[in-house]
Parts: sequence; C-alpha cells; structure tokens
Amino acid sequence: MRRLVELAPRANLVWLDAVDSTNDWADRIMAAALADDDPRLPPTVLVAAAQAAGHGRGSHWWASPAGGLYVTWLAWLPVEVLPGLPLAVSVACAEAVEALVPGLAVKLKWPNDLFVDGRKLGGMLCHVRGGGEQCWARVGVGINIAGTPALAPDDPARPISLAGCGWDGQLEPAIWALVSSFLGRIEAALAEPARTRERWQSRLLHQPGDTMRVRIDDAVVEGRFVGFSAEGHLLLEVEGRNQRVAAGEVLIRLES
Amino acid sequence: MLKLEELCQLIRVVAEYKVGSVEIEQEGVRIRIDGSPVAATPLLTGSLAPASLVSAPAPPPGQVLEGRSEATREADEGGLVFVTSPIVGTFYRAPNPEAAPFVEVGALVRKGQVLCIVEAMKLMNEIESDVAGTVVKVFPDNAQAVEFGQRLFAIRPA
Repeated sequence: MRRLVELAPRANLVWLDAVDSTNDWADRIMAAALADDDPRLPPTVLVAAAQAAGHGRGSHWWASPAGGLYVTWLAWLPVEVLPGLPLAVSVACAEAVEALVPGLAVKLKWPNDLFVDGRKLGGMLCHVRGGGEQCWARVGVGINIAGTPALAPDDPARPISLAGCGWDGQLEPAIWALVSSFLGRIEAALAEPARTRERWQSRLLHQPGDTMRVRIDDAVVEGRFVGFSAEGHLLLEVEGRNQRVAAGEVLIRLES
Repeated sequence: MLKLEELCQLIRVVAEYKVGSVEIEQEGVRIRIDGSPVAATPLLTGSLAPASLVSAPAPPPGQVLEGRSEATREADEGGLVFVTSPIVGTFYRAPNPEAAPFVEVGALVRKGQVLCIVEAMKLMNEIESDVAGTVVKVFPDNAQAVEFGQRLFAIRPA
C-alpha cells in the first residue's frame, strides 16, 4: 500500500471519506483515550474529504464541501507551549500554503484567519483540555483549495481558494503536501515562541492607527488599533480609553 | 462501524509496531491510518523541546499555564473548592451559543468533567473540575471577560 505522504510525518494520519466534523471525531477519540489507563496517543491528524457539520468560532459553522482541506491535529502537548499555540498554528499553516503556491503572500486577520488579497482563504480553531504538565490539544484547520463554499455575495467571509489564486494542481496531493508541511513546521514554531510571535505579527493585516471594528459576543466595538499585548491580545483605544480584547472577531469592511 | 476505542487502539498499534498503513472499510465507511515511524516519540520532548523552551522568554504573567491543575484550583475555603481561570479570556458556559450549559448550579460533577470554556485568541480552554462534587456557584456571567486567577466555580467536594 502506498504511503499517504512521502515525508515521514510526526503523526499518524487518519483519512475519513466523510464525517460530521474532524474536530468532533478528535473530541471523541480524545475522550476515549482519556478513559484509558494511559491517556496518551501518538500525535494524530484526522483528515476528511468533506464535512457535514464543520465548526467555526461560537455559533459559526464552517462550510466544508469536497475540494477543501479539513483536518484536525490531535496532540498531547506540554502546557508551557499552549499560550503560543494559536500563533504557531497560524504561522505553520501560512508557511505551508506559501510552500505549496510559490509567490503567494498569506496574511493573517487577528488572531489567525488566513487571508489572501483581502479575502479569507482559511481558518483554524484550537481546543485544549486536561491538567497537570501535559494537555490534549486539538487544532482544526480548514483551507479552501479547489473552490470556495457557496455563500451569499454579501457574506462578509468573502472566501477565496488556492485555485482562485492561480494554483492549478491536483487536490489530493495538495492536501497531503499541506498536512506534511504543517507537521514539519509546527513543533519548531511551538518551541520558539519569540520567533514565532515575530513571524505572526509580520503577517497581520492590521496597522497601528487603523480604525478597527470587533464583534465581542453580541456587541460591536469600534476603536483605534494600538497594538498587541504580550499575549497577542488586541489593544484598542475606544472613546479615549484603552481596552484589551482577548477574544472576538475583527470585522473587515466590504469593498464597494 | 469501527468503535472509537478500537480506532484508538489501531492508532497506537500502527505507531508502536511500525506497520505502515492500515485501511479498513466497514459498512460503507472507509478509514485509512498511515503510521509514522517516529510517532511513538512524545511530541516536543527529548532533544528539541527542553533546550528550546528553557531558552525562550518566559510567558507573560497572565499566560502562565504551568501546573494547569493547580492554576485552576484554589485552596479550600469553608469546605469549598474554587475553580479559577488559568488565563485572561472570555468565559463561556456552553460549547456554543445554541447549546445547553456544561453544568448548572446544583449539578453533580465528576473529576475531569468539563465545566466551561475560557477563550483567548481562538484557543478554547476547556476547564475541567479537579474534584467530584456539587456545583454551588457560578461566578461570571456567560461571555464575560475574566482575568487570570479569577474564580469561575465553587464546588462542594463529594
């Protein structure tokens, strides 16, 4: 049987033709592992050709037709690396995409949406659970490869795919190349948080002084973007007062 | 359909015995596992992680997660155990806005049960109970910003 990837990855790869969500599968596998005497599993990547119920942040869903990358990386990580996990994952993903499509410039919308030419190429969501020195992390990543989900024309997500960027390769080799490339980068990205933070910040779309609108739960806050805290949280000046935003969605204005 | 426990076992077997790849098709569902020759090595341990992590700058105070179980549990007070936030973030009582809360006041919880999520930077920290007992109080409102060390739940141990 041929190997799914030529490079030996630091993880087992589990391919599923169709699932509700790779993150839900990872959650179930994690729960089953935690019920064992030894909760550890080798690092594992779940890959699906399509998802029936992909998750986004909060109540958002992630449209997952065939033609995209839908993966969850399930890893047992030291707690020290967790604060840097969202940054490391986004940097590893952006670099993996650029390695596949030379000449493409992948930007990040805070904290870690993948953007090309002002449009959304992909996104990711991290979950962690467990106590002590090590935790379970499951990292879901979705990237539009061959096409974009069918969304309303005025949908603020404004998706773009690699095919829409001029890439003309084959889907399955691209999926394995991205997964392999991600696995080859993520450990170093986690182990070097200061360097990763620099690489993350250099890709961000936002510049100090920009007017920024952020949805925080049900409210939208508008302010002047000041910078980032040490943790990577947004620092906004809102009506003359500084406000730190740890969680929220930066709203991108639609171009006319 | 393959049971999850069997899938976990397969993942372990593929890694430990270096059998390469396994493909299983049952009842129309195909699962393929491609084993890694180095997957049995714990991630970020051995030669890579300790040296790199030691030389890295210390995480900022609000982000220190060392001893996560200790960070999420304060000392007893009047027989109660307080679960506290390990990070600065946003407190959520449910996995998503449409779902029921993980726990309600009065609920019996077991050790390791997820009580809430604290989100920062699209990282969802699923906060577990360190003890079995009864939820006596939920401190923050849903979607409220919480600080490092802030009390989230009071639990009376069983």
